Amino acid sequence: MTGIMEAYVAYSIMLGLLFYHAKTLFSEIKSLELELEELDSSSSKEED
Amino acid sequence: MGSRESLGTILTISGLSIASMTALYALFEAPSVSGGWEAPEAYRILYFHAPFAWLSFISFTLLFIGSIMWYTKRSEKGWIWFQTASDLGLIFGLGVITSGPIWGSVEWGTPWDWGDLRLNTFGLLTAVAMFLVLSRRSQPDTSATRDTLSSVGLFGFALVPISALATTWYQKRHPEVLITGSEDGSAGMDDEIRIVLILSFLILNILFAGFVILSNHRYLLASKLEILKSELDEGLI
Repeated sequence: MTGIMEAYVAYSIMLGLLFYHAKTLFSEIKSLELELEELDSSSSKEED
Repeated sequence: MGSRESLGTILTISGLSIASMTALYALFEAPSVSGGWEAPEAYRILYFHAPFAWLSFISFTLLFIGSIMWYTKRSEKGWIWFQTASDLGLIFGLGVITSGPIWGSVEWGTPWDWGDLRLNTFGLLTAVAMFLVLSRRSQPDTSATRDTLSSVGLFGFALVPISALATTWYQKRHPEVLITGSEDGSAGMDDEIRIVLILSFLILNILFAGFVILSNHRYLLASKLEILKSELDEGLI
């Protein structure tokens, strides 16, 4: 057994964790920005 | 998009792209090792495993700083650092405690050695990060919760030097740090392997910087949103 299959599995997991975290960061930032914009616009309408 | 967020995005996207290419190089192009290895090709895991361990130690150092800032100044910025660092400590810690046992299972014949100090303290460190992330998400965000979690974060940091120096203090099964060669000169690292490993460290550090910037931005936005919502609620009342 050379262990190359195990190396493939380990890299898939480690790269998967990195991509998953990046995807979570981008999607959460986007949704928070949208929510902030909505709140900002609704509060400015109320002021008007 | 602010300049800091743009920098975080650029570092993250370029870090991910180059890290993927490095992984391919590590798997298919890096030289093979010879000698008394049970599974010589499994050593390739090292190129990401070691930088992941380093970055989880950095995460816990940031967690320590965030905890201190929260305790001493009740600083919102400190709490943002705490949240970012606990997330990153979990991500990089999980990478280490999954890739390490995969290597151990083929090289040692067992995925885990309960007598090895580094393995066990590192496992505990990752468990602390998981506890912090899950608690943050499940508990109400009050000063009392933050105090409790910060104290756990401080305890977690105490494990960092123990885990980092465990192979020097109590050498058991976990391989020594061989970048500069062993003390008696009997072991060391092939030049090409060393270069790929150093490159891997650099790239993953760049990616880590991108993650830190974006994560801090995310928690800053969440904090602003909470303040805005409470102001709106007060206005309605």
